[in-house]
Amino acid sequence: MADTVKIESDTNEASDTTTSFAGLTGYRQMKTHFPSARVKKLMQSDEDVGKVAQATPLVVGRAVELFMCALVEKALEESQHSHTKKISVQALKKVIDSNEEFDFVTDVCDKYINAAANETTDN
Amino acid sequence: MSDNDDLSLPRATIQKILTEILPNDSCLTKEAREALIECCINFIMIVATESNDIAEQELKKTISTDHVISALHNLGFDHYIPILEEFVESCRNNAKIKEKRKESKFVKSGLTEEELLAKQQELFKASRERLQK
Repeated sequence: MADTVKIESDTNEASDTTTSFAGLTGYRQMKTHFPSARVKKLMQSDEDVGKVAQATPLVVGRAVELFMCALVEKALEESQHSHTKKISVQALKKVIDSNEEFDFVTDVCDKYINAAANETTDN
Repeated sequence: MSDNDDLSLPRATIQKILTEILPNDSCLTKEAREALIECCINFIMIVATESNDIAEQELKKTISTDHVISALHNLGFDHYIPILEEFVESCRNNAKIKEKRKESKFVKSGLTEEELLAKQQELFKASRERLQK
């Protein structure tokens, strides 16, 4: 992860030469994007957040997409270790706990793990 | 969660993206998908808060893409930055092309604003007459 991040002044499209990281391949495959209006609304659901520039929600949207790809890609790897094709909350949690960059969402998974457990006991 | 219900990311979009990035034979459990959505929302929120703080420090009222990029740097997502800068650049180019197109249409007509206005009135008049017939 501590690869040197090159910032090329003349970045054009198709700069596959820049450092690769988890989620990048997925991001390149992606054709669907988050609606920027929704991203903007979510950003502004924080009362302190005021005006945002026109391109800001677009960029934040792309950043979330990168983040999501990284998370999914690692969770997929994790579930391949346990030979399951369905990615579980447990796999997702393991990925989040073992990567420092995801530490702001460590407690998100817990309630979904409980929900999953309840569902199985209900049936 | 109840107040977040109406303000979430669209499930259909998430599902579509997941099918695009996952290999054919794998998927997420229902709970994992919900957890993933919540993680994404949290990500948007921390980026929004951090960029807002940076904008405030610079005494700016509007959060620009530069603020977002500095926020990502502060939050330790430096590796996303080159790709996002590339994206910002392509956005800028698109905007430039659009602007050029708009401009050229006006320039191409070779008329002044008054002449164009007169022309428009003429057209209005013509169509009004056509309607009255």
